Amino acid sequence: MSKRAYSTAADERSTEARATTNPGTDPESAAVSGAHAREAGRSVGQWFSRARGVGEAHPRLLLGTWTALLLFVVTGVGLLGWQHHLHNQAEEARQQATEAATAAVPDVLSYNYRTIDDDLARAKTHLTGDFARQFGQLTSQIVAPQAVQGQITTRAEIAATSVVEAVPNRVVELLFVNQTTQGLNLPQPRVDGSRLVLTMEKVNNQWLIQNLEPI
Amino acid sequence: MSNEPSRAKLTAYATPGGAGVQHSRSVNHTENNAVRQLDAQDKPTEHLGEDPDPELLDWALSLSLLPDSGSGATGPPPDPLSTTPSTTGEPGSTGERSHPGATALTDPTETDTPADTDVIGIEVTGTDAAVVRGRRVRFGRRRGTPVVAALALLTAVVLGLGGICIAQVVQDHHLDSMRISAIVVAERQTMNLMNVNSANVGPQLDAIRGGTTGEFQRQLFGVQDTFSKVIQQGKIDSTGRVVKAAITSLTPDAAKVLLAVSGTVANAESPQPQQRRYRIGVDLKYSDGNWLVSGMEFIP
Repeated sequence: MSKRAYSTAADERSTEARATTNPGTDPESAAVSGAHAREAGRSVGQWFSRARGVGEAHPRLLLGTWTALLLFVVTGVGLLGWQHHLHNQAEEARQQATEAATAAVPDVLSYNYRTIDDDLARAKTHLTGDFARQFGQLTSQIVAPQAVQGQITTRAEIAATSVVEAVPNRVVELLFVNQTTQGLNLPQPRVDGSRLVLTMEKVNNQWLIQNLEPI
Repeated sequence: MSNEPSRAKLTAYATPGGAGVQHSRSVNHTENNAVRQLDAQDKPTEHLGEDPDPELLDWALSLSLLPDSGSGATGPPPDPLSTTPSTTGEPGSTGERSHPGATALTDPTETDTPADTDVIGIEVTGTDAAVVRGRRVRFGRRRGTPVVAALALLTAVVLGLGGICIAQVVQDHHLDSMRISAIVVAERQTMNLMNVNSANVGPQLDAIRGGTTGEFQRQLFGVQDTFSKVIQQGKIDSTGRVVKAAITSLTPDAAKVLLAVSGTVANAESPQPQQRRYRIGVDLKYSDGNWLVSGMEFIP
């Protein structure tokens, strides 16, 4: 079997030799392009039969090369798949983080001076990292005393949400929040419109506020 | 053995089709399957001197299901079969040396009626054995062919997966670029509208015109003259810059963008510029490869 393959490869080689000599000797220029095409077709055929010849002669070489190429392609496909996976996760993160922020921000920014301790404790459940600590200090040292003193009640409502950027575990949001505040010094409820940039982080499968910054 | 039923079926089918080819022996014997099967067990002894054990034959047959069996070694030699006169119609016995597996494996199944088996092999191929046997013949020509076949299959699978992955990633990229372009267009159009003064209001509105659509376009340019007049008479000078832009929603043909814009406003009454902070929502529609503003509002 392999002998036959050898002989065909040899035949192809000899036809190749003939093919290369033919166009040069052929006087008709019109036939040249056709000859070129034929030559190209033939050379492809020769290439294949040569590759086949090599494959027959060195099957391990052929299989090795093939396997190496396949592994290369598998790696590429794997990377692409991973990229798509990350993108999918980022898309999910957009949605989840937005939902979490919509639920968390009113909790974090609303309080009633009568229930201030509970309110602030509830607020802290939505926070994470350094910001949780800083927010705790701010509220316990400054906000809570003044709230009690001024009998302040404030309520935050989300006016609009949007996503600045998202990766699977971290989403930056731009929120428009309306804050309605009442107190002893405020005969009429005061409404403030704020623009907040929130950094949401996924901690233990839960989206928490890692930073909150008015702009 | 898994091949037992198929063999019985084969012999049952075989007789009507192969009766003409087959010698009188089978015709003499038959009226029912039991007789035929007896017949099948009898014949090898008279036919071939080798007398292959039916169990062994079954085993050989089952081996043929395996991709890599040194069939030439285990199966009975092809020579006795090809030399017997009864096998006239069988292609496998016509002396093709490239098909040693074929003769070796077809012959044990129905040792008695080689001619029939081939009729079966071609016409009654509902049985797995026959199909696999046919394939085995082709694959068995070269050593390592199963490896090549496996590699080819793997390659096909990998290339298919690769195609899917590429399509997905291209789609992801398209989604991202749609988001970015929506934000860019929203920013540009908003800035055109925010940065107006008595000197540039005409050109600014002209610049906005092409990038709007629908009701918003009609509204905006319905009040265009009034707008220009107010700006010019009030000596209004408005500036703005985008502090933050983000996307609220995105579909293939629509998007909503939020902009936090800060700027200044000065007018005839208070020439000193005053700081302003705006919250702006921009609706966009995607048409002919461009984002067009279909709505703009100051979010209270």
